[in-house]
Amino acid sequence: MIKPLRKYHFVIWHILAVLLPLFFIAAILFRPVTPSGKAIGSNEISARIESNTDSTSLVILKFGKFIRTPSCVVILSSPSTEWVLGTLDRQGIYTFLTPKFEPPATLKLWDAIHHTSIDSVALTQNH
Amino acid sequence: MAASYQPVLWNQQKKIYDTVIVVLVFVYLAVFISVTATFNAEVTGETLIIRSTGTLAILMLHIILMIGPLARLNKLFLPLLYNRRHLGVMMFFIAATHGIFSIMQFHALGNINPVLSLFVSNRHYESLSKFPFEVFGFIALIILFLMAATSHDFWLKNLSPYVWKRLHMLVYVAYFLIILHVMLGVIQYEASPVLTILLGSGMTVIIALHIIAGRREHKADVVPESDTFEAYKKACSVSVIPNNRAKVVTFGEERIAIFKYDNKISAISNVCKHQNGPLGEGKIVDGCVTCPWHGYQYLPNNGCSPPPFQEKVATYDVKIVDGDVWVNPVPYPEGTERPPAMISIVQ
Repeated sequence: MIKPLRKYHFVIWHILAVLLPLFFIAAILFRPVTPSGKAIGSNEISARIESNTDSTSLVILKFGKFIRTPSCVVILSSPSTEWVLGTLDRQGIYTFLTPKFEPPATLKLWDAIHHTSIDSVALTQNH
Repeated sequence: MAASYQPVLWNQQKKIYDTVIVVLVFVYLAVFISVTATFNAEVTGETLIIRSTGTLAILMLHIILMIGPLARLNKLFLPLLYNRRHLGVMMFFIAATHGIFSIMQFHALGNINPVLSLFVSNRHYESLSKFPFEVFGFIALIILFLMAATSHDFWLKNLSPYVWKRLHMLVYVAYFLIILHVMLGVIQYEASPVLTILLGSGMTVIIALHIIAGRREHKADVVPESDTFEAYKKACSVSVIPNNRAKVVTFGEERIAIFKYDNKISAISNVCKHQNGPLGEGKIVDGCVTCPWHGYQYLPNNGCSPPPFQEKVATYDVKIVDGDVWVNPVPYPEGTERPPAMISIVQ
């Protein structure tokens, strides 16, 4: 190397010697806290009506599958109506507050970009 | 040398070097994919490719970044430097495979351009832990592409060694971006500390090697207090220069390599015209100063490459007084014949 490039090397590595450890430590310190608890079973998918009041219902969806589509919209389908409840990002337990409805009902998972059905699960009543 | 832009020909050493690299790459990929698939049956083929190529690329980048300072600190590592460009190009292809499969897996299934999706699907630019880390990897890949595309001596010749070397020093920026890419990406979700420890250790070694080598070079660039007589400066004693080797001195802007050979002393610029390699750390082979990096050769008395090659370096006047070598630090135009100082006559 010639002198200007040696100088450039000298300066950049002294800067990197500060910046790299700084970002390295910061990235570790600011890691999101992963919630602990029992993992959802692989490929498990189940949904139940947790509670029903006069005007609302609470629906719990346990979703253990990998999502391989760009969108995964949750639709509540009952004989009388259909509501879009929300979207799924990843495996987890999801809670949706819905308007009061009468069973039987099904949760449909829908890829809204490709307009294809991903999955569906029948809602069970919590006793 | 540069009669046809092919200074480093396909010799036996190069073939062995490349074969070893290719074999090691395939062994790494095979072992990584087998072990991961065995212990994680749910993982898809795309994910296996993304993870195996990603880890391999960063491992190779660490090795590449170690070779330079190691070769500066110990000549035993010089053979690794000889063909480092091939290692770099291969690393780019592996990193590109990682990038292409990642974009296909995570960004190609939506209804917007996959590359645009990479920048806009996650907009948490204000958050460290949720930052769209793929952006760092993408920019680093662009830099690596520029380096791989210009790695041939055609570009070295046309861009000039200074510009080419400066362009290729962008690898340090790419390294910084890749560390961010990994730290803000997979490390944010990885439960095991193994990857963090490995990355931290590699990073520490890289920083330490570059700082040590850089400081040593910086120290060597300090112009020493030296006896001066007329235009000449006292460089060293003749006896400290090994036969067919050089003593490197700094008297001005650039270093001078003083060679001892056939009972003669000649001084030429220390900077090779190919990649600015340190000629003074090479030796005289078949009567020519041979660069330790890629074997470019120059005649010590005129700084010219032997025909048919056309490279030339600057030459300097030298003389021997009472067993000491004196150098006039004002360079002659490249390729200027200067009479060597005769050791046997003076001593």
